[in-house]
Amino acid sequence: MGKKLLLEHDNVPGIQGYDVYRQMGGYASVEKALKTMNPNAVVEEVKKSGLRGRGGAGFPTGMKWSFLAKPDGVPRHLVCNADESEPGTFKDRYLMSRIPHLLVEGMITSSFALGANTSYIYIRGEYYYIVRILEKAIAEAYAHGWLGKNILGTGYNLDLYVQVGGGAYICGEETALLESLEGKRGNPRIKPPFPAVKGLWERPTVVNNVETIAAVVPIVNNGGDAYAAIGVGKSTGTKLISASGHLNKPGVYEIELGLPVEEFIYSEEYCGGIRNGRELKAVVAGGSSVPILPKHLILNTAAGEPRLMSYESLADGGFVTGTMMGSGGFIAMDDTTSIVKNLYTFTRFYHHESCGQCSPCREGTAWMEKVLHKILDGHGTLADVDLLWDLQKNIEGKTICPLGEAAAWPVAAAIRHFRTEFEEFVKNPTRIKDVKHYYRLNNLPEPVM
Amino acid sequence: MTHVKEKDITARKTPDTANTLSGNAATDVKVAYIDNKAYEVKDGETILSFIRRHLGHDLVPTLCDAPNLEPFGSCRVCSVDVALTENGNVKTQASCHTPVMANSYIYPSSERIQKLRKNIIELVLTDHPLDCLTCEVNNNCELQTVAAKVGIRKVRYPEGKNHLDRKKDMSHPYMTSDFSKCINCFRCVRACDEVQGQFVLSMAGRGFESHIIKSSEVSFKESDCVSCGACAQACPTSAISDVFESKSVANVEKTRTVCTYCGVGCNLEVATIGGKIKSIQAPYDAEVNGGHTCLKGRYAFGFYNHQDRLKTPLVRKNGELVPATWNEAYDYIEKELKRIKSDFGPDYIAGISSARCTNEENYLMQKFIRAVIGTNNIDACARVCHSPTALGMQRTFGTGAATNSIIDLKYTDCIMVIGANPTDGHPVTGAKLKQFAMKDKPSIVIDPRRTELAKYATVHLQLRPGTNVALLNMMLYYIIKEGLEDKQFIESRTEGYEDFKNEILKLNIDEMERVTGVNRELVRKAAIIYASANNAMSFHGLGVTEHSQGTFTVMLIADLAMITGNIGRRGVGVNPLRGQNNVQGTADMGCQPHQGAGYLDVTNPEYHKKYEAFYHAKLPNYAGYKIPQMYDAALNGKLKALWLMGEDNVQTDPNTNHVRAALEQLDLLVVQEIFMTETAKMAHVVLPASSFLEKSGTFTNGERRIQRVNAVVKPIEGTKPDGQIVADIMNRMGYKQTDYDPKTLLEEISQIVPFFAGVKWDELGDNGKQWPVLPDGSDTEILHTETFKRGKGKFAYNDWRESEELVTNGREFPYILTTNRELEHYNAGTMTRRTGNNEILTEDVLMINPEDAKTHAIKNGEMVCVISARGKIDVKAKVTDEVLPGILSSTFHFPEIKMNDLTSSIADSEALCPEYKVVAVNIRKSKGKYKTGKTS
Ligand SMILES: Cc1cc2nc3c(=O)[nH]c(=O)nc-3n(C[C@H](O)[C@H](O)[C@H](O)COP(=O)(O)O)c2cc1C
Ligand code: SF4
Ligand code: SF4
Ligand code: SF4
Ligand code: SF4
Ligand code: FES
Repeated sequence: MGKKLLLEHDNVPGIQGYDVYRQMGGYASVEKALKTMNPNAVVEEVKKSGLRGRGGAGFPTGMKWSFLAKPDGVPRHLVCNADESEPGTFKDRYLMSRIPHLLVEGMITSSFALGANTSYIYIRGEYYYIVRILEKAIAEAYAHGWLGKNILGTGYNLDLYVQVGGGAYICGEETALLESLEGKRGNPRIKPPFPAVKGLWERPTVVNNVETIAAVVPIVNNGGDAYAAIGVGKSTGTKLISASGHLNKPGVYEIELGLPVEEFIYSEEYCGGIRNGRELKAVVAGGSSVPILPKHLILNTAAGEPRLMSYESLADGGFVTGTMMGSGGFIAMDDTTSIVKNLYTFTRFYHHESCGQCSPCREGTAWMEKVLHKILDGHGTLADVDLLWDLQKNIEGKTICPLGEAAAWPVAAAIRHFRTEFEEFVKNPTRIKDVKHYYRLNNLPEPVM
Repeated sequence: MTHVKEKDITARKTPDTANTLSGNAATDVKVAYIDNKAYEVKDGETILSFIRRHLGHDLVPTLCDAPNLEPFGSCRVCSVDVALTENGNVKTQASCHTPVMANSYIYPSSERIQKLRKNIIELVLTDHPLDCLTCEVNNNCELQTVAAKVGIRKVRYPEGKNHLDRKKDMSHPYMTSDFSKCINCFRCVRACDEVQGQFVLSMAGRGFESHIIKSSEVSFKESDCVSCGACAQACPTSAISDVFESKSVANVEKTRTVCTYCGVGCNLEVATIGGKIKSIQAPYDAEVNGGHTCLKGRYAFGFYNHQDRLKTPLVRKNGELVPATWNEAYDYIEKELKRIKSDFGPDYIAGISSARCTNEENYLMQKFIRAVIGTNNIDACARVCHSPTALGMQRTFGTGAATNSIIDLKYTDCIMVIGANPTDGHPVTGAKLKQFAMKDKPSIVIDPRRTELAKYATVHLQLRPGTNVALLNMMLYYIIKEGLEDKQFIESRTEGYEDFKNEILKLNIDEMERVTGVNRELVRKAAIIYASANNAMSFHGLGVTEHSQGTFTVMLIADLAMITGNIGRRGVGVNPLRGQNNVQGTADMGCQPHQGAGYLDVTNPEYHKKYEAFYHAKLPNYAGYKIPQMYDAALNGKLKALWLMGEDNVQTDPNTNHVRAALEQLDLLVVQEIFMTETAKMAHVVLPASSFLEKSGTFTNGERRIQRVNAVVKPIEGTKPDGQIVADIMNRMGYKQTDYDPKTLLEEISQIVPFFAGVKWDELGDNGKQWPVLPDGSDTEILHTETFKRGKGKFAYNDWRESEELVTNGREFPYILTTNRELEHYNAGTMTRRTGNNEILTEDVLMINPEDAKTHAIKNGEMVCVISARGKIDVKAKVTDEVLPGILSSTFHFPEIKMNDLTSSIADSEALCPEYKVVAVNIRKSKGKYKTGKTS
């Protein structure tokens, strides 16, 4: 059994409430940090732990924290990114709804480390029921003196607010999130300046994912070194994986980083193999944005090494034969899945979610959808496949925020690894109606043509 | 990031000044490489400004970038390749917002960059109508230019969903939109936010569905748009434009000139086709207004060839004004003036000059009255607006002009705005002040009305009208009490402080709090904010001057600056917001009864001699009449002839009945005008003048900037420039005066006005010069840097005194009426009401607090009868909490409601500026029916 740091008490009845959480050792990290450590010492532990951001980019958290500008007299903020909207990713939802106090505790300890006295949890609108859970937990924390003025008599003050988003994926991008939190339209900002210098209300701000902040709790409790001892190489600690698709046991799993992908898919401890005894066809390993890999490349690297669930191993081979850890949204597809139709769903999603600021993303995401629609409508040509390729290439890395590339990568990878499927549809349009399975999303608007 | 604006303007001024450095650059200059060639890098500049500074404007195309806006980064066509080391990994970056890194290698036109740009434009064109040839901005469209530049030949995309069917919006008298042409660059949104601060435009919808909306998705007409036109000028295509199609360049000639509607002095670029004005835009390189104007400057030019323009002289015959030739009119005037001069003497003749006219015309006018007629009876409309400013600041500093420049707003830490409503009255400066306050920077507003600026200010001191002196004394009290004086400045640069301080400390704060109606803690807070800012600037307007204690208030504002040491450097000072475009110049040119051109005292024997020698004429050595004294003299038979240059005194001076009665006594009333006004109707001779668009000269704006006014079109047939009319009459009266020509007149002026010494018509350039201009031509942004004009700055204490009007009439007329302006109209509306502005704002309104409205059962939009000791009028009620209970405020742009039937003849004790801002009135529901009228 792999070690569990976040979901250790997941199955304890009543863990959602304060009393049980506290009995299980909850809020120990706050006591330890506020009473026995100074803020810098907490930052040092986080640095030592090797924790990397769990929101998708995998940026070392300790380093991010140490970039925070600390001019005297200027308030600083910690903002928790709970906008979780990437198709295939639902781990934050799981964590927040089951063990809300873990996030609240992480927010207090982290805010202390950063010298923030007002912190926010920005949560996506569709998680309205979790808002209630979080607000209850926060109220309990206030009632027990973990929040508010003069916490534990140390003189440290912290107010924690939950802010509900309007349900836009783009508001998960940290600068769009800050705009939205300020009450504006959620358009990503140009960088520099980075949030660490000018973030919320132009003040130094750290934005971290829910899971990242939760991980600070065991790091402070057990020490950074203990955390770093788990995992492989620069992929330390544990990670929550949202497993979905054609698996026998989809769900949220906490894994030790470095777990072989094959073990994750096929072992009984985790996903228990492909459902209905079918063949695995492909996997999107880190949420809809990351490149899709065919079975042979997800189980083993191009060099034939076993592929591991770690930042480095998943990225092995670059985008030619590798992919990314992303936010840990692991979507498995069996051999009945149509990659083209699947891609069409993803593309519609990105088109729908593009904020529309940058011309390449605004027009490009729309055209990727339109061209795919044309192919799936039976009117595609081989030139359209090339046009798609060209389109994605001129979006990637050419935009204000990474949504552009998030939209481009799936297209690139699908063509790279499954070009024959596109060609099949172009040459034999009648085959399109045979498609049984593909990734579907609810509530997408009418397709554009 | 204001540096961006500066950089881009310089970039445009000096293109192609490539100062390439040799390969191994000197060690202390930072360099970066463009196509492997080293160029010097400036701190904080973007890659785009770096490239443009060295290699010109056109190397890197841009669409969403604009010279007066912050970088935004949405179009991505400015992308360039950047490597951090030689032969290092190349990354694509948007040059417009990415700071240039020292020692980086930039490739602005690599093959993949060219391909990227082409792809982007291709994508944009898939959702853009391809009707360039019939589009109004053909050949002046940035999309068209960039598309041609990147070499799009064909669009590879199939037919697809697009937005070409979007409806045009033609609802507004000026602004138009056609969003089928929109390329989502956000320039309009940013212009509205960053330049105007109106927040009308925004992007709604996401991604491909995103589209520009006005307010909450309404038409321009229904939106909160103030028609400044910044968005239309910023839009790179014709998606937002105006009814004049200002961006079209077909057959257009351009002339640069200066706006005539207020003392900001915005530069205008006027486009004409075949000698007729087509449209106006704001030059980006204008130091005053950098690409911005308000709707008056940009759109309200339609009056100039309005059918109502006077086109022939009129002479009164048998009680009626009938058309006459110029000769007949001049004959009449000559005869009458000569008769009056010989029968009664020169002092029975007076002239009133105009702050709307050029410096050269004002100079001529006072020269005519002084040297040709032989009297000092010359005054100007500044009497009724900023005369207390000139006098008060002269008394304290020695110079009656703004100490600093508007550009100082970039360097100040605190603004204090007293008795001014700049977002309506001085819109371009107002927008800058609003931007300042909106960013939460320390700002203080002292005004009886909750003005737009007051809504954003840190502190709003909403005092009872007529208590400026009491309130400022309180501020001074708290500054001294808190020990926030700048002792060193007081010690070294001022005099009279000890007495002043003793008087201030004797103040009865309880009483001051009661009379001003402002909580003392709030005043204390304001005092601390102003006094503890590193640099604080004050601005004031007619809410300071048009009071019985106007001059004293100005002196206190000056005292506040001195006690806190806010004089003589960047970002500080006392800055009157001049009302009319050339108030400053009119006074500089000597259009006042006690000082001649250059403010020399006419009673001082030395200066008297100097003027006599200069004009080759005999001059009186005593001061003449101020405007109110002229009326009194006329009523007493002491004044027989009055010459008005472009003034409508009947409508604009207070106490209309009094003015009318005075004018009726005259033997000769000459009026130079562009339209038939109420005053002109009373004249014996009316002379048709040319408007500012039809003549050349100079205006001096509120920051002492002498700017060139260049004739845009020929004078409307039958009219003459005011200066030419005056020159004609001077000759008729036997004085040899050359024809009106700004260049030669400026030469003459530079010899007599000391601070014009170095002013030369040909050297004024596009942006003019700020006086004093030294003989070598160098000018002055900031006054009093070392010493004051009068040596030491002089503190002088004055007690607050209740206005006579309230003491006498307050019991019977318990409400206080004050006046205010609206953005859309200019004073009596003679010009603006003959433009589309009249469709935007159609009538005057009286602001009344909801409580008072309830007391009198008056509903919003109903007519109210307002009664003062002198008369009564009917006006429409606007029920609003912008005024406090007991206070009323009315606009005065529609003379038919006869606001000045109410106002009194009370004036500032020192400068005789009328007290427009305090009138004791009573109100009741109107009984009669309001008759809407049009100006005839
Ligand atoms: C389009 C887009 C959507 C994103 N959505 C999320 C999200 O829902 N949750 C999240 O934590 N990070 C999201 N991110 C990443 C954030 O921008 C940011 O990197 C992250 O919150 C940093 O937290 P971490 O360092 O703890 O990972 C998104 C990024 C992009 C470009
Ligand atoms: S890349 Fe797309 S989502 Fe991101 S800022 Fe640009 S248009 Fe918006
Ligand atoms: S005209 Fe001015 S106020 Fe109106 S929308 Fe455009 S920028 Fe905004
Ligand atoms: S209306 Fe003009 S300025 Fe505004 S986004 Fe569209 S193209 Fe740009
Ligand atoms: S702000 Fe004044 S000078 Fe500028 S355009 Fe408006 S009226 Fe003219
Ligand atoms: S000009 Fe740089 S992104 Fe538009």
